[in-house]
Amino acid sequence: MESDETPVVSDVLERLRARVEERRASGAYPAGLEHDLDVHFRHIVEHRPVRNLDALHKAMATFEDGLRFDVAMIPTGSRVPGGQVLHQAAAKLVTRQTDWIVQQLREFAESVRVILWTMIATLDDPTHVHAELTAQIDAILDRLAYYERSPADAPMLGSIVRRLEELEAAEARRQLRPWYRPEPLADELRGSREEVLSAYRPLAERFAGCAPVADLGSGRGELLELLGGLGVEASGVDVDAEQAKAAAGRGLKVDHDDAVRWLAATAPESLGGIALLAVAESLSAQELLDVVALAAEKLRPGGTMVVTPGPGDRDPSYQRPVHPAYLTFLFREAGFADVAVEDGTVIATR
Amino acid sequence: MRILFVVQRYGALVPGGAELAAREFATRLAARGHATEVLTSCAVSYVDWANAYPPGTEELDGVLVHRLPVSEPRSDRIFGPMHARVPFGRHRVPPFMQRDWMRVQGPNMPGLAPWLREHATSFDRIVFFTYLYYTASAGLPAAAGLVPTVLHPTAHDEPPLYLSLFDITYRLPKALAFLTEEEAELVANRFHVRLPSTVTGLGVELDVAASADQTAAFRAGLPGLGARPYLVYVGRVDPGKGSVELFDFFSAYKRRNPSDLALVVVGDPVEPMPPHPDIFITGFVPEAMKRAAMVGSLALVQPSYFESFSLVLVEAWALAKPALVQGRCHVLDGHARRSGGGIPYRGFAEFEAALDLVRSDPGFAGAMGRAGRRYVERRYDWDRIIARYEVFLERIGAPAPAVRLSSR
Repeated sequence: MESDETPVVSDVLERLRARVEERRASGAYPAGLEHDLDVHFRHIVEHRPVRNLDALHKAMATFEDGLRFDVAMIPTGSRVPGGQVLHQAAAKLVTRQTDWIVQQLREFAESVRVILWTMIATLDDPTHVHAELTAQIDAILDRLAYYERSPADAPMLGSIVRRLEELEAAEARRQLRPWYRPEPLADELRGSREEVLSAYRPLAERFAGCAPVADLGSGRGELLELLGGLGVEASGVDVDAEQAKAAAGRGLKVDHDDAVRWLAATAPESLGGIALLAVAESLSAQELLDVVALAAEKLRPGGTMVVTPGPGDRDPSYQRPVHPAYLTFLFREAGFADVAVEDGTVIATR
Repeated sequence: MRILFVVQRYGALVPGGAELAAREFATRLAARGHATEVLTSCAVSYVDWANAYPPGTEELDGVLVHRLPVSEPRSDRIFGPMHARVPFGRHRVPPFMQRDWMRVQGPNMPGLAPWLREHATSFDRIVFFTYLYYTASAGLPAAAGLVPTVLHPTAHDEPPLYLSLFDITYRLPKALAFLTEEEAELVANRFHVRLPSTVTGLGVELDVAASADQTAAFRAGLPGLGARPYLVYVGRVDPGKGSVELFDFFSAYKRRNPSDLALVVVGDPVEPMPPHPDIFITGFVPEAMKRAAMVGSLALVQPSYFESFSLVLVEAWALAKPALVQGRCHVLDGHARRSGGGIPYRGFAEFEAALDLVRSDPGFAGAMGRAGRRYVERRYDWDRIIARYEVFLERIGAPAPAVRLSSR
């Protein structure tokens, strides 16, 4: 062999196997030698899936053994004297018929035998019978895997999520998150606590006999204090956690919540008065509509709602002007019986 | 590229084919400028997965290695019967039992999936090594879809491969990478998957040899071997590796063909072997001594039934040694037929005839060895493998968009 010639393994194996066959034929391998030395391989590979059709093959072997149809197998013996001669004579008389019947049985049995072997061969072929089922299972597994790793294969979903995150970021930028304390600003915009108490006293007196009263956006709680002083049961709600906490700290009944949500959760016709003081201009247009509609639902007949204007665009939470004429329209449309405007303050009676 | 390798064990103390392959790929990609990291366990031994390395992050040969602790070592008292029943049992077992088997087999790392979910999108590709263990079984579902993933199954025809548990494991990655064509064929026949794939192989050092002094020193270290011709077997002495069959075949050969031929076993026996006057067992030897053992041999014998690559065979061919290989292992049979460097035998009769041929025709044996060397040069040069692998990683797709559903 040339030094750089690559041996062709299949040719080498062919020669080796021919040599092995010669040795086998010459008895070079004692009986059982190869089988005994294959014990490790048989042990190792017995896990590999095999179709156990042994029982079927045994049944077929029994079936094949029974496929003997012969006239000679018809017994002619008899316990009656002369009976055997009689049987033999009768058999001879109908020989033509019995031969023909046996022939038909042989042909029928052969047909059955062929069919059975065809069925067994089909079962023996692992891919034939279950090919369609296997393909269906594969398709299900493929689809399952696709869903498992779908985000990578769905750029559109990724793009939607990115857009959503951009919108969320933009919305977060629009939200007011003051870094200053709210009290000095309230002093600046609405006057000192004493000034506000003085300004709110006439409003508080309007709620006499209107208990319970809800103050939406209760802030520092001046109205609640005044109402408490008048013996009118009252509670407040404010979206600013610190303000709500501070007011509660002074013994006032104030919840930290969104005013619309809080009012919506109140029982119908359970309130005698609602105050919306210097808050309406900080609500969105829809929130204002919701507050008026809810007030109509939560005030008992004869109950009063008072809406005062705020400090205008000096207030950083200011969103839009709310004209008393618009409020009047809203209260009337919401079914309030009487609406009056006094120096910019709207007083609506249910 | 930022590439993360996920493998059950990793480190200088860790032996094992798949683990070594993962380390070679990671280290060589890092050397070519890729930001390469590894997520692995703290274990060294696959027998019990006991935490040996400290948890945390360290750098090893330019690769950042993150180690997570194994929650509990594997208990043979629980795992043994379960292993006998689930993959080796006579009947199929339901999926929940297969999942229990996987959890007990380990290495059970509760932190693996959360780590991957948190960090996956910071990588361009995530590469899993070995389908068999918890790292792939739990890690692939966590990472799939977040970033293109590759699974190197390192599969061979063994009982666990037939568990339905793995049907989904083989479908989750974006692509598959195989060590040989036969491994690819085995996986295709078993799982019918249609994923992008490549056959990488493993590289070997081509500029290696052993001096006459080293081969002489090796012989001198085995009293009784002297100048006798010998076959060499390199690897663990374990029934699953075909070593017990080789002992039986060699013993039968010597009874039928008396000569001074010896068998040298380079490796540690898992179980003590009965002494044999013609069989020499070295135990663990350094790399240079292993090469000397191969260089001085008549031929390498690789009798393993279960191989997904066989680094030893490729190393022997790199040294231009011929080989007799287990023909019932498709991978070894494929290597031998493609290279012309070995004879795949099936059963004792063919082993005997093949050995007769190698002993009686040194010219033919030499031609086989040289053919093996050419095969290795053509296919298993590390630089070529890694260059092809880089192209493959690029080809399997751009990273997915970073998907994070807002909690708001």
